Amino acid sequence: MTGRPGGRPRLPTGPVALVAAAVLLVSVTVAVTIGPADLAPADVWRSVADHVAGLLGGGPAEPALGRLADGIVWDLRLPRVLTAAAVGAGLAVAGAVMQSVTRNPLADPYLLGLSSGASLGAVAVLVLGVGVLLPVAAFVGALVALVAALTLAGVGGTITPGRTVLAGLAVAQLASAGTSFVIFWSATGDSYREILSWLMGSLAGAGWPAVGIALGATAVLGTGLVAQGRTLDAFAFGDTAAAALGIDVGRTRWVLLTVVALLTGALVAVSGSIGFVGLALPHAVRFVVGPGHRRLLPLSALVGATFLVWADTAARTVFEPRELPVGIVTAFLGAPVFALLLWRRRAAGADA
Amino acid sequence: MSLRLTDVAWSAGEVRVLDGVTAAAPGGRLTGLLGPNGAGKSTLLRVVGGVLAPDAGSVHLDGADLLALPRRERARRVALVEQEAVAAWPLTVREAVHLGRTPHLSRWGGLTARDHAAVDAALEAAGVSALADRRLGTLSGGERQRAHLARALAQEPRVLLLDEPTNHLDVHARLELLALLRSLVAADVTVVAALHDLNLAAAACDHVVLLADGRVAAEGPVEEVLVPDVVEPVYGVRCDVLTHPVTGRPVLTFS
Repeated sequence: MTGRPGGRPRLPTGPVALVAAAVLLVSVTVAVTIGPADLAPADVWRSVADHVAGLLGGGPAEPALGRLADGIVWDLRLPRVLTAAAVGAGLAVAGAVMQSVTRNPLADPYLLGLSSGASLGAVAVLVLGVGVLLPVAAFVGALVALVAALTLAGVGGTITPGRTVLAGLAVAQLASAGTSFVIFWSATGDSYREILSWLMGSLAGAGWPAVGIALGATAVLGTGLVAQGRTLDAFAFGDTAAAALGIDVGRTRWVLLTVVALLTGALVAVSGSIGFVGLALPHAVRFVVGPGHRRLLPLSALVGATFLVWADTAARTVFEPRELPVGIVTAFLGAPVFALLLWRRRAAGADA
Repeated sequence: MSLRLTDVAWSAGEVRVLDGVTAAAPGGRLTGLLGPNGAGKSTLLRVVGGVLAPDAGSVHLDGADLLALPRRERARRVALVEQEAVAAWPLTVREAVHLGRTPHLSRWGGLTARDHAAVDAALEAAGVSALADRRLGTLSGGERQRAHLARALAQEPRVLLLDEPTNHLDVHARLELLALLRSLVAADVTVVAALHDLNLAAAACDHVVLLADGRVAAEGPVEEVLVPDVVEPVYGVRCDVLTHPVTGRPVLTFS
C-alpha cells in the first residue's frame, strides 16, 4: 500500500519514516553523552570517526578525545546504546509480525514460550554453572521452546492462531516451572539478584559482541520479515481469506513463526526478556500509519529502537549509581502507552 | 467461464462433508448453491476457492484444471467472499480492497497504476466508492458486505464465490446485493452464491445446485429444482410453489 489517499488521518509514510530515522540517530548520539562522565554530542562522533578510521587503517595513534573519554564512548556506552537500539527494533518487528500471524492483538515476541525457554537456559548457567556462555544457553533454551511449541501446535493438523497461543502457553508454563525449580533449589543470595536482573531484561554489560548478535539478527531476519509484508497483509481477514488470496497459509505461518522465533531467541540471548516493546509499540505505529506491513514493520523498527534507547538510558541513570533492569522501565512506560492506545481506539469508534 | 466439479470429496476426520459432488456453474450466470445446514455448501465453496484441498475429484474452469494451478494463478481467476470476515485491526474500505490485489503483486514493487485502477473499479462496481475512506467497523451490514465484495472484485476474478452473502442483511440491503450480483453476471462473471433463502434463490438465480448430506440432490434451472418433489425430502418440510404475480418467478411456501 502506498501513500495514495489510503484514508483518514493516517500520516504519509515517507516523511514519518525520515523523521523517525532522524530521531533515532539523535537519540543514539545524545544517549551516549548521558551518564556520570560529561560528554558532548560532537565527542561521540569524533570517537566514532577515530575508530572507523582506525578500522580502515588510517586512524590517529592517540584518540582526539583522550583515552578515558574515548573508552567511555567506544567501549562502554556506544555498544550498549546500539544494542538497545537493535534489540528494540528487533522486538518491535517480531511483535508486530507475531500479532499479525496469530491475529492476536495481545501477542508479543515471547508468545511461543521463547523467553521462558531462554530463561531456563540462562538460569541453568547462572545457578548451576553449566559450562557454556550465557547467551548460548539462552538461545538454545529459546530454540528448544520454539521446537516444542511448534510441534505441539502442529500436532494433527495445521498451525492455527488458537493452537499457537495454547502451545506457547503450555511451553512457557513448563519452562517457568523449571526455572523456578532451579532457583528455589539452588540459588544463593548473590546469584539471585543476577538472575532477577536477567529475567527482567537488562542491557548491562552489553559490548560489541552483543551489538553484533542483536544488529545482525535484526538486520537479516527483520529484512526477511519486511519482505513478507504483502503476505502478512493478506492475513488481515484470517486464514480463509488469506488462502483465497493465493497464500499457502500453513507453510507461511510455520516459516514466519520460525523466523520471528529465531530473531527473538537471538535478542533474548543478548538482553533477557524485555517486555512491552514488542506488544505496545506495534499498536502505536499501526495507529499512526495504518496496518500495512510494508510501512508498519520498518517504522516499528525505528520507533522500537528509539524507545529502548531511552528506556535503557533511564534504567542506567535514574537511580545512579544503581541500575534498574530495563524491563522494569519498559513496563512502567509501556503500560500507560497501551492504556492510552486502547482508549484512543475506542474513542475513534474502531471495534472492527 | 463455466465451472465444472467432478466427484469432489472432502472429509473432516471421519466425517465425509463432501461425498462425491458433481455439479456445474454455467459461465456468466448466477448459480445458487442451496441446501440445509451442514449440507456442505461452505465446504464446497472453500474447495473451489482453493482454501481446502479436496481428498478426491477435480475442479475445472473452462477445461483448465483449477486444482493444478499455482495458488496465485488460481486467486487471479477465483475470488471468495466469506461469511462475516472480520479484520484483526481497523481497516478502511480502500485498504481492505487493496488486499484483493495480493495475487497480482510482486514482492517488493508497490501498487501500480493498473492496481489502483482495479481497486477504483472494484469500489465503483460494488457501490462503495463514497465509503472508501471509512473504516469497516463503522459501516452498516449491507455496506460492509459490499466492501467485502469489492475486495473480491479487486482480484479481477472470472469466478466469484459468495458464502451466504445476504445473511444478517435487511430486505433492502438484500435486494441491493442481489442486483449487484446480477450486474456482475451481466459483465460475464460466473457467480456462485450459497444461499439459505430458497425464495431469494428462486427470484435471482439462473441455475441452482441443491446439496444434501454432501451430495447433489438436484441441479438445474430454478423451475426444475425448486419443486415440491425435490425440496420436501431434502428439507423435511411440506412445500407449495406459487407464481409471483409480478415477476412470474416461483415463490415457495413452507408448512
